Amino acid sequence: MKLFTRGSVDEHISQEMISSYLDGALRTKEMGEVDLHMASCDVCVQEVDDLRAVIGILRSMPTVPAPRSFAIPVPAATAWSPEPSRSWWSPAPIMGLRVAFAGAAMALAVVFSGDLSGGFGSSPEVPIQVGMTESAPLITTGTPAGPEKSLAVGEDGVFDAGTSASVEITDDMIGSTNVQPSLIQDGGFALGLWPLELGLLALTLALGGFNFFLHRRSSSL
Amino acid sequence: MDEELLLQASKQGDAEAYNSLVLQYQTPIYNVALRMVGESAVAEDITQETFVSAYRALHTFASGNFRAWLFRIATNACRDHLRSAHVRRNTSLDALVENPTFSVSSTEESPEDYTVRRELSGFIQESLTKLAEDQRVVLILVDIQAFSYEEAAQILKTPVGTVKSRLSRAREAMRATLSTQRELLPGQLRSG
Repeated sequence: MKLFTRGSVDEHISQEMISSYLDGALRTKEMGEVDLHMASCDVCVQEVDDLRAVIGILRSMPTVPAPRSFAIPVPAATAWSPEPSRSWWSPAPIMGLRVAFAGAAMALAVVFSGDLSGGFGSSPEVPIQVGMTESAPLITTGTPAGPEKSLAVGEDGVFDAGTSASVEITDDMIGSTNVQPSLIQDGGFALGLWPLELGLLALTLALGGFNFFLHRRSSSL
Repeated sequence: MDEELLLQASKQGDAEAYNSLVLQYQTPIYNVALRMVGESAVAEDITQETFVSAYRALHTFASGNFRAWLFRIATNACRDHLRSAHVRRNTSLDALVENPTFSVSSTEESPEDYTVRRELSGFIQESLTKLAEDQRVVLILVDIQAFSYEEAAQILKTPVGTVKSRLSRAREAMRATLSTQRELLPGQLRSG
């Protein structure tokens, strides 16, 4: 705490210091400094006296008697029993929600990192370039990376033992520069991971937000 | 009975024990609420709400300063009320001055003194309601209810340093306001 206020030609004791001085809440050394300063500063003496008077007025405010008894009626108190009837924001549900939130966040992290690293072998983007000629070079990316391969018109290209991508080159595709093959998994069911990631993200955000709300509500009690 | 024993019994569902605590704290809680919101009817509601909420949440109070815990519930209820959209600002200031509950008549007091004291009491309450909420609550706890800095900090969940600075600003604001009504003030401030 600063002893003196700044910005004036004559330095005086700060308001906060005077306030604490009057409450006897300063250290011995600070009390001594204030006393020493006041011995030669009428302005600060006046400040201290004024503030002391304000505190005196406030402390003399009468205590107003309670207008009635606020005792809880015994039958109602039984119904509001403190222990068993936990409200819905009590600690147990909050803990459950926290676990659910942590689980959703971990699942999202696993799926997302697996998707990024290609661990699930189902990268949805396998660009294929089909050239103007029948033996156009096919460039594949993704996992596992396969060697470049040329496909003839009407030929099915199958690569990636784990997740197979099947492309059939037809006449009307000749001339296009980028064709996305559909991903075929487990006998023909098409699946990308993004809906799962999006769902997990939404679930994580919802649980996180609800947890935060409940935490604020319970800590405000 | 000792407060700790009453607390233990209350936690077991002993409503009579809890009501002993209510009787012990109802006046200071009501006074804090009254000074905070400035309306006796609202202060009554807040006081009742405080004791019901505290009873229902007793199982969350493990140990420590029960008084501080109870006053925290009360001050939070006051703040909730003040922040609610239903509170009409500056509505009850005239009523406050007229409210007889703000002064307690003494048999040895002359009618003139009683009138001056009543007006001063109303004016102080009006000045309190003009303070910023965070300064008002500190001023009420420390200067009117005589809580220590540490206990006020515990109630408000703020550092002691914050309590000191808010209190200092609140006192200064009160001094500025009170100095505009010197005729109501006793001795020192009137001549200052």
